[in-house]
Amino acid sequence: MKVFISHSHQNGSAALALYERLTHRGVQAWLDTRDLATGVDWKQQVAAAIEAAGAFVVLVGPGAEPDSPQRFDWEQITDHEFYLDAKKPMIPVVIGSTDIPGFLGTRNALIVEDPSSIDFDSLAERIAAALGKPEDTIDQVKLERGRDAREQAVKSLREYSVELEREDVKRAALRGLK
Amino acid sequence: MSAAYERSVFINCPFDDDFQPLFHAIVLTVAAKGFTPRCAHETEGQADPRIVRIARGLMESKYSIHDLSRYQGQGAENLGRFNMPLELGIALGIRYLKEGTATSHNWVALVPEHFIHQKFISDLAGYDPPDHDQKPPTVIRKVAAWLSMQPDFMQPTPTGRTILDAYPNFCVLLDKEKADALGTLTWPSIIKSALVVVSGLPLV
Repeated sequence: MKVFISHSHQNGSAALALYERLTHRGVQAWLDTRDLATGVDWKQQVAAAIEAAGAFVVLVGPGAEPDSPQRFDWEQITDHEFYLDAKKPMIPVVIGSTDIPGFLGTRNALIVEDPSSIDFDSLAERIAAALGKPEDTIDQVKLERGRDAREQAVKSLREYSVELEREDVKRAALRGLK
Repeated sequence: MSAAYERSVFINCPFDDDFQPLFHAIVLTVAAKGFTPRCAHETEGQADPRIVRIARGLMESKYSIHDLSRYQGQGAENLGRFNMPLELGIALGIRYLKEGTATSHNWVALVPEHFIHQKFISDLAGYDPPDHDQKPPTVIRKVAAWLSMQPDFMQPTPTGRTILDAYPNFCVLLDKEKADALGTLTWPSIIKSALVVVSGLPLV
């Protein structure tokens, strides 16, 4: 199983350190800075690597926004809905303070509070362990919370719909008065 | 309007007949993915100028979707339509003004295929906006993918395939609403129909 590592430029050295620790443990990993071939469109190569991946490690943060290459990774993952495949381990590694993108919201994240002192050996060990148990990468509590939130969202849409209809009736009545 | 800020997605797109199937595809996708679709139609008939109503709608929404498909001149005078870029500009302004606050804003621009936007709106360079082929299946896929990247997106969720399969049924309901209203399709009817379809979708 090939593990695709998604990272932004600012996490480039962390991604490389993690790649080395994972390969040292016998995990087959794919990292752009190691595996991209020259002379071939990088987007095609990344898209193919994501499609072929059996698992994902996604480095998120610090800060809110992914850069352009990582946004491309995420577009591939979400466009093809690989994140909905419960058989594919998807492990967010959250570095510092940041918002987690929604598609990773129900996955168990590994939290790194201090970006300046990351224990890569321990991190790689935890990732390697999680890769063997895809079901453990999903946070069932968050999934249950998501079900409740979904019900709430439909309720909210219903309330909005009722309000629109009420406004529509009011406007029609006003038009009648005119 | 009472729609929750975190769930509101303001849709800014052409309202002409040709675009209508894509507009409806966007509305259905937004609703199916657990958000509340909103647009300028919701305040039609109010006294405020349209641009004020749109700006207010954008301010009340955490997210906005802007379609830039209509970039070519139209009509006998071959005039360009600047409404969409103008309103995208408002969303950009809101995003940067509210960055780091509790009411932040995020937007996406949908553009035509083949990187043509790099010629008519080159200032979007670096954003890699999602492109589409003017067909509902692609629009559904692209909008669903963008929404799933937002922090307020929740799972379980219907798949893009599920939404696409539900789209014809949504169109049938809209046609019925339109016929019942003697040829007029109102925003409340669109939302009511979306609610009917979304309520029965299977989730994964």
